[in-house]
Amino acid sequence: MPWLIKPYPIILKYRGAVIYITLQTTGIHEPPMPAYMGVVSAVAPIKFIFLIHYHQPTGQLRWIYDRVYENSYRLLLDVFKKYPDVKVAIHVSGPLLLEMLERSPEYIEELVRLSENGSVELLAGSIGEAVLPLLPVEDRFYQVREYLRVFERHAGFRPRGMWLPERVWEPSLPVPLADNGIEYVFLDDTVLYRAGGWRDDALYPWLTEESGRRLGVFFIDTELRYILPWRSVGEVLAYMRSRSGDEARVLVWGSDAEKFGEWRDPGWARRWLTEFFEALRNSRDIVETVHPGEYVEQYGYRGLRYLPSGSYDKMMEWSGGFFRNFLVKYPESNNMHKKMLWVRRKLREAGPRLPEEAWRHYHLAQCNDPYWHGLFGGIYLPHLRQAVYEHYIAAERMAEEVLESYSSKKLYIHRVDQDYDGAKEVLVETPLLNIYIDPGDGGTVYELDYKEEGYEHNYMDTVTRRMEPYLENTGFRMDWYRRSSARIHLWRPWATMDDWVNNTPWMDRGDVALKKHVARIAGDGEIVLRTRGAHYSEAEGAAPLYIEKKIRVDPDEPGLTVSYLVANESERTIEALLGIEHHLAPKICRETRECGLTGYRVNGVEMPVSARWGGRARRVEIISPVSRRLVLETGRGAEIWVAPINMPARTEKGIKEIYQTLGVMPVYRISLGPGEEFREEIRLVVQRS
Amino acid sequence: MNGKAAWIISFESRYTRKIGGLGEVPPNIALRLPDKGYEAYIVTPGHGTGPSRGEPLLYLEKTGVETYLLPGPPPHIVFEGGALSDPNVYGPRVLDEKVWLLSRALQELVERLADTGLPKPVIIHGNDWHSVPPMLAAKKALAAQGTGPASVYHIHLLSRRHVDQGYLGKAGLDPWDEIPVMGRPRSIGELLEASAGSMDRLGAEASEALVTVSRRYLYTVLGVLGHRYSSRSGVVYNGTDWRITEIAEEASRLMGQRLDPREMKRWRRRLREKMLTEILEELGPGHVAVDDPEAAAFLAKVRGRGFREHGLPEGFPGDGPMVLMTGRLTRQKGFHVLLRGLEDLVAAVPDIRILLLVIPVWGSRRLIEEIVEAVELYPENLRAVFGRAATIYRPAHLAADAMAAPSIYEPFGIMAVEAMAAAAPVAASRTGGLAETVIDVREAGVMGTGLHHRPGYSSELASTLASLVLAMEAGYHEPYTAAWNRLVEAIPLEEVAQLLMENPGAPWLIRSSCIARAGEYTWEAAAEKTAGIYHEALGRAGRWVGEG
Repeated sequence: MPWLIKPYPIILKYRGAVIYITLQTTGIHEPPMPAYMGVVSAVAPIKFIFLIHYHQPTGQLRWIYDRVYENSYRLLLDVFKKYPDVKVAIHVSGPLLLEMLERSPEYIEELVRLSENGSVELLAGSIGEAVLPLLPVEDRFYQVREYLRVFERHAGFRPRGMWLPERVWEPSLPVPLADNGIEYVFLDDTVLYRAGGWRDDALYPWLTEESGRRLGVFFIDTELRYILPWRSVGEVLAYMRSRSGDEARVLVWGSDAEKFGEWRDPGWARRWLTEFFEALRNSRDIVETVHPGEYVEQYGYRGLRYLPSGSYDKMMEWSGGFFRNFLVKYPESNNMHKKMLWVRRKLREAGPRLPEEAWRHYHLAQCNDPYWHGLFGGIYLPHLRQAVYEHYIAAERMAEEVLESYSSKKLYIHRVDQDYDGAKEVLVETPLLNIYIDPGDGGTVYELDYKEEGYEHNYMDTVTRRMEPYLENTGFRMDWYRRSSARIHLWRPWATMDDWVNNTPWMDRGDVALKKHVARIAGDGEIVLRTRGAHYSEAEGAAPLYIEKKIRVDPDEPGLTVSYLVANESERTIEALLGIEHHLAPKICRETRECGLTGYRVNGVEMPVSARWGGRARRVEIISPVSRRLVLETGRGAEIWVAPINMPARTEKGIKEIYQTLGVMPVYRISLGPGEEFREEIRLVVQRS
Repeated sequence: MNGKAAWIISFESRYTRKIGGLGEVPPNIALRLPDKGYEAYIVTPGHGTGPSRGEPLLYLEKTGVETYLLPGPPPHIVFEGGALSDPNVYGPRVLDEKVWLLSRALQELVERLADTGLPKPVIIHGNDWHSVPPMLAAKKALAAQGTGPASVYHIHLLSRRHVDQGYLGKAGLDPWDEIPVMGRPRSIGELLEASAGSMDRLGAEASEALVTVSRRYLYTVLGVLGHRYSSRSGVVYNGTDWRITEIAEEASRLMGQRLDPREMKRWRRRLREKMLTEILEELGPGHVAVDDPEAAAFLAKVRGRGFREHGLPEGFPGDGPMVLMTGRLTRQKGFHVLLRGLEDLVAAVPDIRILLLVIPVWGSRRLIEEIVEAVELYPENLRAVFGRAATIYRPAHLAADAMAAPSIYEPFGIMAVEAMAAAAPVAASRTGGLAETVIDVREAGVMGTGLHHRPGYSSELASTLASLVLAMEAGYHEPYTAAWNRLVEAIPLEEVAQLLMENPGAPWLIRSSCIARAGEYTWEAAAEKTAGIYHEALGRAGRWVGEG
């Protein structure tokens, strides 16, 4: 006979003490066994803050948004409405708030209504869901201020508490938050432990201080976060009860809304949540849901604490202990971050005449997701990177328009340490184009921004595939150089497209791919990159080479021409497959799956980004239904290899190959005798019609 | 000959073999000492030049060294034989052998001085560490004859050289040998102990006067050797005999027309253009002498961008603001600092032309390679002439818009004074003599003669050099025209740009200040100061002097 098991514990009261027993069974025909059993004297119900964080990043694909909205957000709302007496705290991230206000404003209205009737406490956030410590100090303040402005306009009040994006904490944060009127935030208990706190200390909120500003901090319970909602409601409740004690104890669960309906199937989520809320409703003598604001009013803070930089346990692991490390691990993350700093300078310079929209673009581009990677997507999601650049470029163009940057001069060449690595890069700016060149990294082009309104796009938004912990022992070979453009390789004569894409070791027999080049900016705007390198042969040793790349930019046409020179300065003949590598990003349509072809056209044939192509051609056109066409044209025609560069990235659905960028490499079979030279000219131009 | 005799020991002389500034200082001072009461002889190894230039004086049997007399002025006593005849002046494989042999030969010469008819010296004036053992040896031999000369130790460049008694023994100096110092006898062993083996400190310890070449450098010297020598220390600034009239004459020969220094504004740019494009291109192997055999062998194979055959330079592709840098090819001179700053410099002044006139020395192979590579990578902007190029050396200064003197340290820095003599302002590191001879335009306005930067700071060198050449280039344009404005706007240092805005005539006034400043550093003044120091040294030597 099947066993009927109550999902929540059996509670026995005896002389003021509470005995609770949770039963579980390994199968419906097995007798239940006690899983948890405990005795608590003079126990008070533990306070419980159920904090649900809703977030969709800037640049999310429309159909993903729709799916999550249906599967998760509607489901949650149904449950909240069904159990108005169960108190919940909710945070809707800035980008999602803006998206919902535009596409599903009724959802926000419902949340506000729930808030008004006391079911929900709504929390503030940052308008771009930006990890605040990554930002310039002033931006930290404005990110929150903008959120509050938008929120207040629609809700009619300002939240007291705030959700910190990725719960990334640095001790300087009380200043921008308190200056915005934020009273408390939520961190993970591991941050408290790193400051010397005990486990039970995390059951109370504490105050912290910076420069005279105070901020309250609640601590999210790691153990609870790992079991809710993945274990049975009974186990969850039993754990919660195990943390009971005095009446001021408060247990905080804070995590993603998408865990309910998106990570696992919505049916399961609905059942689990309903059961959980039902249990909460029926166990008020043991677990009492509270709102954070209400809790603070009633119990106040436990005392003063100073907390070190930190985040949740896994984030600390992925980042190597400090979130900013992601900027070091991923040059592309650093690239976006430093693009931010570069654009910011222009925005500030533009002053009050700058439309508010420019700052909105800027703030949305600060959305944290593509700046890092843990287990899922992040920096390996090209549509998110693309959106970051779109917003920065749009903001930049608006600032340039206000500043009338190109009224008297149409070409600027800056030598600045754009990526803050100690060496100067060369940035070329025209009314329609930005071209960023890194002489130190093989004399390559790493950013190509097209600035026309409505078509903003970084055509060189690529990513370098790193070794991620989950890829160890899978046979994956990480990229040994940054996937940027105008990089010269001297492949072995028998190298193949596979060798290139999959990084077969020892195939590039030159050292010029990574060589530091010196940059000379001629008076006429030509940039000359030069270096000396070598071709290596097992039998004959090193053969010195002289490399020159002349980059010409016509300010009236959105394009650049690179003239390549490879001179053999040795006494022997160099046999190689000379490749000039480019990585180009067709703009991804984020609105629908049926926008049209995103890919390339070569010799009159159109191919999707997922397809490889190799053969003789003069030009390759990068095509997308949502952007201008970018044409790569060789001077004399070449064998051209085109291949998607995919990253085997982990997703919610397991490891999947995710497209990152389109590699395009003209290759030339060379046999350079002593003193002989190879010359080629490659043009990249954005076609406006 | 009149006056008291002084022996000035030096390992180089412009009359025998010259490598750097040391080849100029002793002979130029010696030349002017007779007027001040001293008959000065340059005592020097011949490095192979003696037989051809001098008259045989005496063969020294014990050491197997031949001595020659170059009558001068100034007279030279030249030692040849064995290591002393090796043309590599400072080659580490022969240098110690030269020091030992010269010391022993000098003792032998003193012993047989009567045979030569030369007067006994009352002053032994050593220059740099190589001359310390010979100075001690001469002093010892003269003391043995009852004559206690005073010695003056002149530091042109501090060394880190440390020696032990074994080393001095090879120079014929035993620990029990006594020499007179400050009026009392001191043993070699005692002096060596007091100097803790430092050759420079030994020179100072054993002398009645310690001299160096600039006040700033004296602080450095005393800091290293010990402040106990401060009461007997002094400064003799180097001098130059470069005069703009003479340099202009030399340049006139290259240009094939007379260049009047009073009308420099009319021809200086033409001279520059010709120097950069034609004269450089026409330099042949016979015009450039490379002493260091290893460097010569390497350079013979250098060709490629910026070079013709044998490491000779191609001409520049055209005219442009010109920077000159000269000197021995050592890191002390800061060539690597300039190379590191090239990218910034070229970015600030895309058509800049930098000419290096450099003397390879032993061990400079790596630097030569770095320069060759830099020329290849900056073929529009950089050229190098490796070796002594006498025909263009001084005219190149006259063509230059600025001189680069980025020494890491520099006791005096004659190249800065020479550049100023040719009306070229100097971008100099703020160290040693350069900190004194070059007056910063930011502090003195048009009375300034250059700009200072911190030693080793490439980016500062680039901005000071760019500022100087752009300012000088503006001097060739009509003020406040578009071309002039472009140049002034491009000047990286705001103070310099401001100076030009306020006074468009500043470039030529700065050039005049340079000439005037160089005029303060004469050999006459150096000789006058040296004579004073000799006099004081003799006073300190006391009763020993002149006896016997």
